[in-house]
Amino acid sequence: MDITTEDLAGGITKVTLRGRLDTTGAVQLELPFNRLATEQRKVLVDLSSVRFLASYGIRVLLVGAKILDGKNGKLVLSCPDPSVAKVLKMAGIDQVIPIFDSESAAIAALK
Amino acid sequence: MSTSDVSRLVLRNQLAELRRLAAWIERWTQEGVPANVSFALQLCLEEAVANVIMYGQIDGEFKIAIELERLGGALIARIEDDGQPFDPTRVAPHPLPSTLKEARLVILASTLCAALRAEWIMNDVMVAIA
Repeated sequence: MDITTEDLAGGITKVTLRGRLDTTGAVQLELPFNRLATEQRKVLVDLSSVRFLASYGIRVLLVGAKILDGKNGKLVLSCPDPSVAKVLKMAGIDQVIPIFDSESAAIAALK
Repeated sequence: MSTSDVSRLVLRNQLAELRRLAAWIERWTQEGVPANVSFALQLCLEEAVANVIMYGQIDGEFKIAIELERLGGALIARIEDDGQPFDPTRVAPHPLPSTLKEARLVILASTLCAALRAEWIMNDVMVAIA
């Protein structure tokens, strides 16, 4: 699991995840992602390069969203591939974390 | 293609073994298995085996055997382990969350597995856990 961050206009932090967000990948991601959620206020997670997602990966995203929500911040997800989007929907995550098909729509939701 | 094609993998109860499982399933499903079925198979076995590794420990190391079988037009996955007995089909379904505050971390795996079971029944994929 590879994680890179980029500062966008409007105080938005874009987090790009690459690889498999399976149990092993999620364990690697957990600490840096929690730290990032603690330090930032507006986080856009680009899922376009994530090719597999399991429940532990969803858990990491959910914890990050809860951390941000607890301090009036926000986390949104963008551009999951169809299989990953389906897993998010099966777990009901699409009802609690906003998911967008384009980065521009995700950015607009954070402004 | 023969009408029955069986493959077996034995893992230790360590999370690092999940990558071996994923690579094995990917190889096994490269021919003749649609990508969406391969993805669903990987997801369900990852959830089931990760659960065995994280919560099935009695003492020390134990083995987890996974068998995949193509039988005619169906795929059958069997998981056997020496961990604590647990039947995921007896876990009551949880309602999906409607707010972030309601979303519970501990039920994600069982929610996913229940959703996958419903989908697999429609796609001729069966999983047996022993």
